This record gives sequence, structure tokens and C-alpha cells, in this order.
Amino acid sequence: MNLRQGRIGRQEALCAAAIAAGASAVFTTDTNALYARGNSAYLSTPLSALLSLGAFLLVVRTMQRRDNKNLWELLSDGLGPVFGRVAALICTAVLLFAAAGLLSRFSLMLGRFVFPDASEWQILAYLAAAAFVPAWLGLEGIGRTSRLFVWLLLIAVLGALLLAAYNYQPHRLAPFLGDGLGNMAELSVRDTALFFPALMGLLVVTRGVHGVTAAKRAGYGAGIAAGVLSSLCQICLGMTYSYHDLAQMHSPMYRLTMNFRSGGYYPRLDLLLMMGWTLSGTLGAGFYTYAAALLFAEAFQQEDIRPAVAAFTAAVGGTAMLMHVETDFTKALGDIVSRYGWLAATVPALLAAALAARKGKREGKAGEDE
Amino acid sequence: MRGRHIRLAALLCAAVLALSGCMGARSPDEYGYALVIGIDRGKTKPFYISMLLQRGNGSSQSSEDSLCTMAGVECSDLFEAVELLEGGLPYSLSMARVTAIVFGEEAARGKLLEQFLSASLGSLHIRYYANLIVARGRAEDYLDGLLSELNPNVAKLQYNFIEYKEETGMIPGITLTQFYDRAWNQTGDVVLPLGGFEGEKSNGEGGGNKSTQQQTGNGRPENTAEPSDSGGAGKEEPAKAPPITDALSASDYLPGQTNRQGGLPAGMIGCALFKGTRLMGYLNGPHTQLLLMGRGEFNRGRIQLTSANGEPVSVMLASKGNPAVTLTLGDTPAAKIKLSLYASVEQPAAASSIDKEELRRAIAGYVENGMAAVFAACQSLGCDSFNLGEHAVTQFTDTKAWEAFDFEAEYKKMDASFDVSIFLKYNPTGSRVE
Repeated sequence: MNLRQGRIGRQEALCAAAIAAGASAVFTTDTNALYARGNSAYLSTPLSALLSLGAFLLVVRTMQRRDNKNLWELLSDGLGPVFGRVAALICTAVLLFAAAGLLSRFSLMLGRFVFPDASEWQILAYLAAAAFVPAWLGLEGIGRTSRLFVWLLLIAVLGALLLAAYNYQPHRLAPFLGDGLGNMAELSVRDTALFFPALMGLLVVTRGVHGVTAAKRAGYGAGIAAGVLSSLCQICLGMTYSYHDLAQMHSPMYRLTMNFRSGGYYPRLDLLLMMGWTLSGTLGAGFYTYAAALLFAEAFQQEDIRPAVAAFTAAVGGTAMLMHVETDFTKALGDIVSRYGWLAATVPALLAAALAARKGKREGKAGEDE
Repeated sequence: MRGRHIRLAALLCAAVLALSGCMGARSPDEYGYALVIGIDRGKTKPFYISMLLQRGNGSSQSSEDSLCTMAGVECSDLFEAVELLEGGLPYSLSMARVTAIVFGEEAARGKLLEQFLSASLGSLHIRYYANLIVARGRAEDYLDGLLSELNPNVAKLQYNFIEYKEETGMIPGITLTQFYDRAWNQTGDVVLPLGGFEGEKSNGEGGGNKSTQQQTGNGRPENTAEPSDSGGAGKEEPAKAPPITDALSASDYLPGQTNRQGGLPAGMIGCALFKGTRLMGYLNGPHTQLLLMGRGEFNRGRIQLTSANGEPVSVMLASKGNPAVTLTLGDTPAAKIKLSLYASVEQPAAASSIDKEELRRAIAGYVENGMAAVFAACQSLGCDSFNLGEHAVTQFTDTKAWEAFDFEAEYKKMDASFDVSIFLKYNPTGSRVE
């Protein structure tokens, strides 16, 4: 067996999942869907985090009751070996899509604002390779690197928000409920697809984080941290730009850094902050890719995770490239993913949890962790 | 194991650093930086875009080539301008240090400004804190007026500009971000600082389109022909629009109207009133102060009053917080703007001879009446220059209702009242030295 899990502590697990969820929620939002009909993102984003945490709680409780050691065991327990594998494939695709979303958005940002002369595939090839390294080295590498960089990444995001603070105007958040409560609820549900994959990733790697209970605690911490950070970003973005403007920006956070107060050296900090963000993107993509490879390896009894990591990294790079292709088909596909991606992200795990829970509590080693 | 993680961390840092653009194949001195961009109507193409270019940092120790250069070209858009200008420059052109974008009067009153700003300026690395200015006449003349031995480092212009705004209130300050925020939304209209060439080279009459010409530093054009007197771009139009004038018919405290000797040939005072993306009118310096007070953008500035015996009295006003705006929408829309200001009379001897209450009333009266006059002028032009729209939008909870609401119609019939409280600075001895 070469599943490259190793063992990491709660802090490392929390940091890895929080970075992945935070990067997805801050940088990969579908801005057009989120803002075109008004800005309620500063309310819908924390609601999305709460919904994701609720779904995570339901799944993890069932895993504890049924003594499932990881997500794959829950899927096969709840849905049986055949449908469990189908559900595992869907979850794998969701994780890979989350990784591709990160790489795609960062390559777009880098291509538009930093390297306008470079083609997108060149930047993507570079980013995919950077995401491949942590995924190849496994959970321990990802967890410890995340713990090492978490403060730098926090400074990179909070620093940007702080330096742009002179331009915040609360009236730009008005009308305060966006397009109404219905739209806000819809956005909250849709955007669970930004938070839930990272929490699901934690359930895949439970063995490496000392069991389901430890994964649960790390998941709570990660969900809350990512929710608070992304909500803060949404409030600050909403106070800087009107919803009309935000709906037309693919990378509002980068636009924020191009808007620091004139004078001194602050205006030139955008590239340095971008470095921190890109680090979070590659680490997050590495975490997603590793979790996808591990789930796949467990579902299909693969002894060695490395071929899956290599193949999935290539798939992530290809999907990210596809996200840059503007055809009617890719646009329609993107719209479907944006609208219904949350179903693919949450339904397999929740369905398996519901069906497994009906079987009652499994006696014996329930609740025991490694 | 520990070494493996350190190696991984180092590898990631190196990879990401290279992606940050901090390291590049070219060193910074291989670039020429555009510091100010001027936008005018072109003669054969939509735009005539001029730029002040600088290599190095413009310090006195720098070599000759660090002085500012002006270059301009007829083009379809800014992207084409960069391409065409680079063909005639001994270095690569970078837009990353643009501090100001100047619109000529004709460009600002037509569709050119909107056309120019609808391009993705970020992809040219233009940062969104760049300040915007409207020049009376042509922008290229204004840029020409910035070239001087007095001003070897044009990059510092932006700091002086912000400082001048903060210290006098005679001009507003606006960045690209703020322009985008206001111009395409209904939450208020932008006001831009008003610049001009003190010599009134072209005075809005089309100016001289010095296509693809270049000038070197110190304000001396290489070609000796007068740049702006020979007619140009705007003259081709069959029907000439009437010139933009001061909204309150003031004739002083406007660029080109001050009796100033020396200094830069280009100057700034007053503001340009916009409705959406269109230039509608001007306000002179003192009226701009009053407008900024109403907008909550006034920091400090001096006003001139006349005492009962006809002597001038200078009063330094300073902001005491943002104005409180109460907006009532409906059949009889009304706005009430309540404002508090600190005041100190700069001729203490004159001040001591006037009753304090009377002085307070005189200052408050000047500000209230002035703001009412400025409001009426802006309202007649259809410009929501007091940003009342931003208070209106907060009365709506959902976008559909706000977008269905016709604020423009409501604004046209709005009554505004102003309530100004003055707090005189304490000077019990009437001392001349404070």
C-alpha cells in the first residue's frame, strides 16, 4: 500500500481544509451569478458556510454511529458496493472540479493582470505542476506546508482588505437584501459547493488525521475559519464596488489590490499579495487532488495512489483549460455546474449517510478512533 | 522527514515567487513609464492620446534621459496608442505607474470618455487609484503645461494633487474606481477636478493635434510650431456645441482666470460636473468647496468674507465630521443636509471687533446660501453632485424595487435645505500668533 497518508495533527488538518475551502470561497465564486441581481453575498456566504457545516455534521455523525472509518466506507455502507462506487466517482469528480476551479481562476488572474503576454496553457501548466508536487507528496506534506504558510496566507488576504479600507462605503451594499430573500437563499444553497468539497476531503483522509472525531473537529474549525474569512471579503468587496461593477469582474479581490490608497509603496503590493494567494490556490488544489486520488484508490482497491495523483493532476489541468474555452457548450456546462454543482457535492454523501443511518447504530467499535 | 518539508516549502515559494511577476526578464530601467495620459478627440481617428513618459525616477541626480517626455498619437483606443507609441520609443512602454488620466473638454462632453473607460484598463496594468482630471480645452495642452524644470518628477504630481485637495478643498479628488462606481450607477454623479493651461492655448476650440510628435523635458517642444493654435480635431464637426461654462456664471477662480505668474503653465482649480459619463458644467474653486462640504469630502479650506466696514476677512473652515443627510422620497421629495464646521478667523483683530454670534451667523449664512445655490445649479443640469442617490438606495431592501424607482425624476423636483453649525475656534485673547 502506498496511499501516502502518514499522520498529521488537528492543526495541520484544519489548516489544509481551511486553506482549500477559503481559497475556493474567496477566489472561485461565480461573480455574475452572485452579483448580477444585487449584492447579498455578504449574507449568503456565511449562510453557505453554515449549510456546509450542517451537511458535514450530518455525514460525520452517521460515520460515528456506523463506525465508518472514512467516506468510502460510508458510501459503500449506505449505498452498497456498486452504487457506492458510483457515488465515490461523483465525489472524486467534485473534488477534481474544485481543484480545477482554483487553477482556472488563478491562471485567469495571472494571465490578465501579471503576464498578459503569456498564454493561458503556459500559466496553467506551471500551476498544475505546483499543485501536483504537494498532492504527490501526500497528506503529511500538504498538512505541514499548510500549517507553515497559514499565517502568511491570512496576512495576504487580511492585508489586502486593510489596505483598501479607505474606500469602503456602506451604502454600496444597498439594497441590503440584494434581489430578495428567495435569491439569497438560492445563492446560499448554490455556494455550499464552494465550502463542502474541502470538508468532504477531510472525511476522505480521516485515517491520516487520527480518525473521524479528529476530522470532525478539524472540519468545524476549517468551515468556520473559511466562512468568516470569505464573508469578511464579501463585506469589503461590497463596500468597495456596487453590484453592477462586481458582476462584471472575474477577479474582484485582485481589483481591490489595484485600488490601494495613492502614495507610498502600498500601491505596488498587489503582486506580493498575489504570491500568497497563489500559494493558497496551489495548496488547495493539491489537497483536493490528493483527496480525490485517495477516494478513488480506496473505492477501486488501488494499492498505489501515485498513478491516480498523476492522472488526476492532468485531468485537473485539462478541465481548468476547458474552463477558459468560450463556446456555447462550455458556457452551458459552466452554467449547469454553477447552478447544480452543489447537488453533486452534497447529495452522494448525504444520501449515503441517510441510508446508512436507517440501519441503526453499529455495535462494537463505534466512536473509536485511531 | 523535516528536511523534506523544508524542501517542499522552498520549492513552492520559488515556484510562486516566479509567478508573482516580481522577477522578470527585463529590468525596470528598460521601461519607460507613462505617468499621465491625456485623452482628446482625434482628427482622423476617434482619439488623440498623449502621454507624459518618464524613465528613471526623475530625481535631480538622474541622467538626462530620466526627464519627462511627451508623446501622442491618433488612435482607435488606448491599446492601439500603446502599440503605436512603442514603435517610436527607445524603450518598452509600461502603464503600471499611471497616476492621472486627463480628459479634454470635448472628449468629456461626448461619448469618448465612456468609450475609453469601458476598456479593461487593468490588463494594461493601469492601477485603479489613478486620478481623473478634466482639462478646459485640450488635454494635450494641459500635459504640455506639466512639463517643466520645476517638475522633474511628474510621479509626485499625484501627491501634490491630493495634498492640495485636502488643504484647500478647491478641487475634488476622484480615482478610476470611484468613477466606475458612480458613473454607471444611480447612486450619485461624479465631480472631477478642473485643470487648464494658464495661457489658454486652445480654450476648447479644438486645439492643435500634434499627431505623433514628441517633446523632451522642461516644457520646450522640439518642433517649434505652436502646438495648439492651428485648429484641429474638434473643428471638423459641422455644428459646434456651445462651450461649457461655470454653472453659477462665475468668472474667477477657474483655470486660466487667475492672475498668476510663474509656476507650472498648467494649473487646477474648481471642478467639472458630470451626469453619468457626460460633462455638464463647471464650478469654480469656492463653489467647489461648498459642493465638497455637502458631499462629505471637505477636509479644510479658506473662505473670504467681507466685514461690515468692507474689509476682507479670511476664515479657515475645517470639517467636523460627515454631513447628516435626511432624505424623504415620495410626492414631495426633500433633502435636509446638516453640517458642522470648525471656523477660525485669520485676522484676529478684525474678529475681535465682531460679535461672536454675528460672526457665526455670517459664516453659516455664507455656507448655507452658497450650498443652496450650488445645489440649484447642479439640479438644473441634472447632476446629482451631492450624491443624494447613495442615501436613496439605502431606503430600498431589494434590487428590483430600486431599479424600478426613477430617482432621476425624483431628484428633479427635490427641495433641499441646509443647516450649518459653526464652531469658532477658541482664541480668548485675540492673539495674532497662534
